[in-house]
Amino acid sequence: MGEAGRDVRTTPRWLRVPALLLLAALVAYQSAAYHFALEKTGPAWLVRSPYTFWPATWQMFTYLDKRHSRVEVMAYVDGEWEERDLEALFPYRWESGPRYARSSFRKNRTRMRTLAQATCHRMEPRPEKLRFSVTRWSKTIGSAEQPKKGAKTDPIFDWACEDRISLPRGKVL
Amino acid sequence: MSEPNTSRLDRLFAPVWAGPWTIFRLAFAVSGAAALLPRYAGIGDAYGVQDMVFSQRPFRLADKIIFTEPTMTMNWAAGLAGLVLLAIGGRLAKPGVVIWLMCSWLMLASEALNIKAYDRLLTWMAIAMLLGPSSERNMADKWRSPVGRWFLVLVFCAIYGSTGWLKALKEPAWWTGEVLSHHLVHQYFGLKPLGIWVSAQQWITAPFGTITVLFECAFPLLIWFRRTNPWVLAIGFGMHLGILLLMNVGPFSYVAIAAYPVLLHPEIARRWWERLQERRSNRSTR
Repeated sequence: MGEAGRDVRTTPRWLRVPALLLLAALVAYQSAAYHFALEKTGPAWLVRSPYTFWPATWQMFTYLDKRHSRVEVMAYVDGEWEERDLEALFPYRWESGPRYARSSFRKNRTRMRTLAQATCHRMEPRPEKLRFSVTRWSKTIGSAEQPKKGAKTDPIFDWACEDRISLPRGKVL
Repeated sequence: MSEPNTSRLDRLFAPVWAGPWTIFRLAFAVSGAAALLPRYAGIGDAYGVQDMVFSQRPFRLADKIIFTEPTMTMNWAAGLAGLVLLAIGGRLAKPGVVIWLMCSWLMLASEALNIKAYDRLLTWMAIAMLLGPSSERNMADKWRSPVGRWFLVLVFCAIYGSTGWLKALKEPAWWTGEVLSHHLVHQYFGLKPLGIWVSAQQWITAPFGTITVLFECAFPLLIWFRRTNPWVLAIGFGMHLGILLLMNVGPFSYVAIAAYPVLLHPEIARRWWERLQERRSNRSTR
């Protein structure tokens, strides 16, 4: 208890310098994360370990994004290509969209192969082949409807369902 | 250590009023639950799924263990129990934070795809919780070390400062409101009824865009001064309320606002608390 019956306590003397060092390390780490977030290409060690500053990288809604993008899939069944609803096959989604919606996912071959084989696995009847594409179209400001005006579709990944992939811990799908 | 250094450290580590930590503890538990509860729906399709399993940097957890639906449900429930312990307070509050932290990160590492900004923010806030007097009860009568608060203030300086200066230096369309307009109609983050209307009102988006960038850039400086501290937090509160009303970004606004009581200058917080107590006692004597 301190003065006037108050319950007063603070950091013990022996712990004060370590506490200041911890705070200094926090400032240094966050500052370095910001510094490298500004650079397009970091030093070689950062390229090798790109997640070094990830816990402190805070780019949120930074850039202008005038277009929507949606990943779609066509399935080759009984000699015909059919459009299938990917979101119905993988129903869980984040605020940012389905699990596979981010561009970092699309650009990663291992992730796309896993998505493709899981899609083959979940589709009834099982297709022979899959063709993934991304459709981009302009956002319509002030409207709940977002018609696909000027839509452009680019193929991103083809997959044969007879192929197999190895999941972590050796499970083959 | 010499005498002057010791007294300087004594001044620096002078105890501050700890009342806001009770609100922070409870608000953290609620916002942590707001992040964790909806994840229950994703156990079958994401966290305990068997056909969309990833082991990629920075998460290699699936090389060691792949959760099934029942084991992940148990992990989820243990995380929730950790938050309950935190909310109750007392001796088990900090172990509760550690349990929640471990279970949450097991979920995130197992999914290995979508770590949200609010997940990382909650983690930094949890470290502040462990450093601060979060486990004690009756905090309105206690004065404690400022270290936990400093940690939290520095984390928020980094978040707001970093995102604000990136916007200011890299994206001029923030000043005109164009970025805001387009985010408000994002197919997943946006398209809330009020957001759709606001997106077409440049007389709203332009000043809001400008205020957002100015607030975020100035926060790391203005938060430290007693005179500007409550004003900068009031603007931040308004910004997060706006995000909550106009966008779908999950519990991000709740998470950020949960820390605000501790970010408030302790002496201002104490004065407000005393005024509130005075009003209450005046009402009860009438």
